Amino acid sequence: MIKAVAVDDELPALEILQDFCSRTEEIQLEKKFNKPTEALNYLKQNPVDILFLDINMPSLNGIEFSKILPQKTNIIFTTAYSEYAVEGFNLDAVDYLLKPFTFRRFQQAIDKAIYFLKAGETTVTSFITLRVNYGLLKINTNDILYIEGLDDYLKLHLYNQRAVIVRMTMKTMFEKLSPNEFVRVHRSFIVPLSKINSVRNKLIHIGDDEIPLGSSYEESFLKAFKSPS
Amino acid sequence: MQQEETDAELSYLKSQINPHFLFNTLNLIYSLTIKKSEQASEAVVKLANMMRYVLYESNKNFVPLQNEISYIKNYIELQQSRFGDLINVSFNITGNTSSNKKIAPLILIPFVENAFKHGVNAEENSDIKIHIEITQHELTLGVFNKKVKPVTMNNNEGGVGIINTKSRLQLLYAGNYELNIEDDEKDFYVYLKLHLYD
Repeated sequence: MIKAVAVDDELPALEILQDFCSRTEEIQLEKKFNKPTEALNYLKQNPVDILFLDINMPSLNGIEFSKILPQKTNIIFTTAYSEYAVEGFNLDAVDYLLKPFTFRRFQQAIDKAIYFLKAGETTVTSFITLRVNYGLLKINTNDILYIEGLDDYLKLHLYNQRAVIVRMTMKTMFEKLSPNEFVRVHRSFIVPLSKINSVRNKLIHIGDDEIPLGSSYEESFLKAFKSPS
Repeated sequence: MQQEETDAELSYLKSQINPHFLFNTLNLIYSLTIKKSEQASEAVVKLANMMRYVLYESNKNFVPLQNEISYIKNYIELQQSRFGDLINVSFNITGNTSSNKKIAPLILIPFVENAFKHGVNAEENSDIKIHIEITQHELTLGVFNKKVKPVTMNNNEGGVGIINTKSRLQLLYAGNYELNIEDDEKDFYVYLKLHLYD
């Protein structure tokens, strides 16, 4: 279920979004806010996948709001006035909706957001926090090239950084990562789909390295690798 | 020649229906139709009446007072539908409401629009008070709004609409009107008194 929140100072606009979200199967509108500061407080505690945000609210400019969001969220701007629409593009928003918009146009915006969520390549950066010898380490999952298991330890091979050794099982690590992006390919290896250059002879090429593809993982891996989404 | 210039100036100054208001109202109606609300049809009629007034009546120098009052009423009601309980709006009219007098069209609305433009904020306690009093020969308009946190707007005594209206008042009511605007840090208050012509 994809979680969404809507912020707009006009009640009718929120009602439209609620109605439209309920017509989809994937989007769950968790909350509606007409006060931006309440929305901000909520979002600090409860990150969501998609944020519907009115660009021109008198109390808080939607664009300023998007800049002070605690984490990057996929934003779909809404506006009644076309002159503000361009600013939505300048800000890395997924889409902007010019009110009034049809359900079909709304679906287009949602589909675009879903595409970005699945591809993992976007405004959404995710971090994992790991306990290491010297304390806690925060790692951007986009930097992970592949993960190698060594008995009780894991070695995270990272992009442009020294590898990180952490005491954890493959299973625990796998649970921390996005299942759309990270796949188990071998008893001792987890790889991110987006970093794969090619697969040949049961070897997965990532950067200069070759990672073996285990026979019991082959089928599910190829399915995930070839899937269009 | 002078008459032509005055006419030209007057038509230039006459405010058209505010496009933002038009789109906001269309959005309101859109949401009402999606909800299949009975208020949808009412909203359409209000908007249609407003547009009719602007398109066909506002090119006259003076129109029946009733029509201007209806226009303002429709405007306020549509705005209230957008925000519901979020804002406090009080609107009352006292005195001879069935007066046969005439008034310049769209002469009062810029002050009301201004209150909604600068006085509406879902975050704060928005407070707008509009009062109209009609006596035998005079109309008094009082508009009060609390100012919201300024975002990108510049607060120059209301902007273009009010500046234009001042010019129209001077052209149409010279010597027969009184306009006081009090613009302080937190509040905005307009007081307008007009002589009503027959």
